Amino acid sequence: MPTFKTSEFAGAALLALGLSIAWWESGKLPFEASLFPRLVIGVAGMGTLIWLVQLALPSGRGERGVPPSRRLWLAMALTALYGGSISLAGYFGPTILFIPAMAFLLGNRSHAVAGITALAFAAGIYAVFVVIFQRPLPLY
Amino acid sequence: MLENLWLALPLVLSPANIAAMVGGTVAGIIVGALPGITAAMAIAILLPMTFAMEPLVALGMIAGLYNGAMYGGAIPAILLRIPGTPAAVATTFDGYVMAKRGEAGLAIQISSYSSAVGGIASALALILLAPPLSEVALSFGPPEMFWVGVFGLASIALLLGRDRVKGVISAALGLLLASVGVDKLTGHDRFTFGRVDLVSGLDIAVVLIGLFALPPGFQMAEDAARRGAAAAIPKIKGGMGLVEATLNFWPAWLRSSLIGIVVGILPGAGGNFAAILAYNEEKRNAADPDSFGKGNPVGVAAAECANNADNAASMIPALTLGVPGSLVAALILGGLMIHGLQPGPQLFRDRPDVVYGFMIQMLLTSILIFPLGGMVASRIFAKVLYIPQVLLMPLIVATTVAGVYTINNSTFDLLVLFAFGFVGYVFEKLDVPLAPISLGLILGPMVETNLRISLLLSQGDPSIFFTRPVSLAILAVTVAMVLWPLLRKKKQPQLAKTSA
Repeated sequence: MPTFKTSEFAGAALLALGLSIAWWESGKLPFEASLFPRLVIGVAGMGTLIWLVQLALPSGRGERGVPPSRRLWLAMALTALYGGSISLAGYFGPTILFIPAMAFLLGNRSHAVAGITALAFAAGIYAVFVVIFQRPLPLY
Repeated sequence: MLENLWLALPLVLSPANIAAMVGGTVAGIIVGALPGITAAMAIAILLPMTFAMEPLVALGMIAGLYNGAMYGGAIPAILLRIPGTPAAVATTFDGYVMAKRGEAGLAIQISSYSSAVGGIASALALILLAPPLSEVALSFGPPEMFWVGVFGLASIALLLGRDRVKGVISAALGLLLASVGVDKLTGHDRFTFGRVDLVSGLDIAVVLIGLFALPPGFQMAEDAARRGAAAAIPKIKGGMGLVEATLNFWPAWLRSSLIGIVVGILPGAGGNFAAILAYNEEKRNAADPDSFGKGNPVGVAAAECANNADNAASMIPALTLGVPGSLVAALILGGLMIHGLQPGPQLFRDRPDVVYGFMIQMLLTSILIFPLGGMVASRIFAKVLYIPQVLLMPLIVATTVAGVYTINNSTFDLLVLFAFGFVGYVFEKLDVPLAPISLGLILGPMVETNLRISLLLSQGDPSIFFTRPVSLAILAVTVAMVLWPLLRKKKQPQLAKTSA
């Protein structure tokens, strides 16, 4: 049974809001600097309006999509936590913890394999980036 | 042209370059063999590793990645009926059936020969066609370059995805993201919101990696619970010599190479389209078309030859006009820009060593697939299929983070990475194509600069865009490309009516 695509409508509405903020922000600029951004915002805005109208019409309905699972949200949160911890604790420590933690979250129960993989991976990244390419990674 | 090729050859044959090409090809085959990781994603993940290299060495690795990944996608397509890259879909039609009847080795060997032949043909087309086209492009003025940018954006936005409105929105967002930072003509900060980190704009590499490397990782997290590690894979045995393969498949190789090259030059089409078109063409020409889909080796040969023939040819508009015709070409141009090289016809004039060197590298990395597609190598590469996705996903994220951090040694870049990773994932769920955003990011500065310079030259008169013959020609092609799908749609119901 075709239903109203709520999530898509919300996405389009958020996009419209973002474009409105961008339009307002570009108003602070002199004409020459704001010309191109405003042209582009105008095109994106028209497209978003058409998208919203398409969704509002009966022909814009579709099958209800499968919502993201709780596991996916947790995976995203863990990834964000991992990224945030790098500035506090360096790259290698959080990475060695992140790999088995994420694998466990996704269903891995072979903890020894995950642990060994994490250590081998960290060693490999150190060898490739730090030793071979001389690109420093934060240690702590 | 010959002189420039001759000058670039010793640079390409340096030990560092050879190591980069071989390493890149091996890495490309491995990554291409992993289902769920496209050639574009492979390049996005490994692009940061090239920053410490000389530009030509970096391009050698990228060329190897590109050609290797397009071949590598055939391995799981044949062994597991799962295309390693989208371009390998057509390979599953006959390749998997061949594997089921004990001819996995033969199928893989045919696909490696065909991929190499297609890649070589495409690289030769790039070498022969790009230099004269760049000469023509050098005569373009600011209004012409503006329309070239619009043409490139329109073709990707309107032809690549299923929904044209979303494609246009995506392209516009890319252009908007490209305007973040200091306006080069007036010196004003745009959309920096007071953040010093944004004054120099968003780093293209970081945004592209966020958009293309992380969302598949999140998708893997979604799928991991449903699908564990690969089940047992068929034994890889049997094979065919190159001479025998040439005698059997040269007509298919010839037709498929031509199809792949033409599709590659057209912006918006990709290896997937080339492979399916070539497959259908071989089926149409075959004496026994019903054998296709039932393990006909010609089906494998045609699909693999065409999808690799698309590779170098797709770099023709990218190198000559600065307009990438595919997502991978966009990433490669992004890689060039990171090394301080502005893509476009002026690159042929200013850095012929880099451009001609890259063309030779596309040729040599295609030739490398001959030895790397052999039985021994294929058995080793096939082992990657045993890596469970529950481990693969965090490894991809960790590699991406390491790579992005080393670009500018900036934790702000990690924030941008994750922000665009999330945006990319949401856009994919909303069916908004990501390729136009990348194109908008890359072409934005070129389009805006040429727009404003044109208006300066004409003292604000917009008719400069509509009164020059070449500008009008490019505009006409753009309009035709926009209208063609609509006209075709209108014709189809009429055709259905008359045939009823």
